[in-house]
Amino acid sequence: MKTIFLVMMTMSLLYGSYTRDATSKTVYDSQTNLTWEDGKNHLYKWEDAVGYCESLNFGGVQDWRLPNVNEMLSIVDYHVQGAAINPVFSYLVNEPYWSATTNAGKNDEAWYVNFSDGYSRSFPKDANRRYVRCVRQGKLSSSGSSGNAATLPAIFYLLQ
Amino acid sequence: MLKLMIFSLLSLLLYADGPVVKSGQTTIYISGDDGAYRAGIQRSYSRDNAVGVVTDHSTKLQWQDDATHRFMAWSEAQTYCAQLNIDGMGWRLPTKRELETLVDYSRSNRAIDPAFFNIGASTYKEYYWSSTAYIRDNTQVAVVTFHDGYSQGRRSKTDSLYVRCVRANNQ
Repeated sequence: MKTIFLVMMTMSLLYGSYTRDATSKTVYDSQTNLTWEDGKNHLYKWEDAVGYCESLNFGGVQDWRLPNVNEMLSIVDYHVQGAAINPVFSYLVNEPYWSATTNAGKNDEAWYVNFSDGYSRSFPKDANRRYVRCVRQGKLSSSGSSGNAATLPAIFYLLQ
Repeated sequence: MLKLMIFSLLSLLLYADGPVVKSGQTTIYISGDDGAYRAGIQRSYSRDNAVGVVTDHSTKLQWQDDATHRFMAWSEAQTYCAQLNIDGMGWRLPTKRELETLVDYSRSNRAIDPAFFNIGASTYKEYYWSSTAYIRDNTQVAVVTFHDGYSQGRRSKTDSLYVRCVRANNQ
């Protein structure tokens, strides 16, 4: 019992509110109630990045979109050295990822989040291809079966 | 057992960030962008002008926004917040993530809600301290500015920057 408890604690500390579903290749975050695409690394210019997520059919759903800057910042983990993203993500690159948020002062630029250090900056939409990770609201109905125990809050086990 | 409990409670605190706030962008530059979806929860501010405190009811954070502005090194800023007594105690330096919840991405000049009279005002163009260390160099700390549009960066802990304190809203 104590071993199980310890494993749960470690998983909880390492992955926090995240669960990866290996079948659908998605990561669900219970804190934000967002599901993240985690099946491939894509590189697009900004408009193509928006279009890619809009037309994505993945994990049995089509309601994917390019995340806004706050959503992108929500998966930054400032405790992880080297790559500022939770290790629950299988496909990750220590590079900038586009957000769907335009720079209000320079409309030809959009905000990106660089996972080498977890910082956001703005960059011309049309200049270079950047990495893309699409997001959708809520949990995929098919991803309920695997790995859920690891994400139950530790307090749940203390109260039992 | 006690150690385990402390360990697990700490792990909960590390991840207790909650839902994402809206960026504030409402202009649609292309179909399917942030202005089209406007995802996230709506920020909801109220200001207590007598004490200079702004409460965000969506993030349940209270921000020090009185007219006195302080300029100091990082360790002094931590002490300053711990000893701050404005409408009571309980203040601390905000995390990078907490400071980012203040950014209104629809504004390019003073990229923050007008409920804040002092944070990011024209006389306070400099960066504000966060409590979040830069992961590639722990002599540096994440800093955020609002005045000329939102921007973030990192500064040496020995630099002098503006400080604004935050606390949980217990009301």
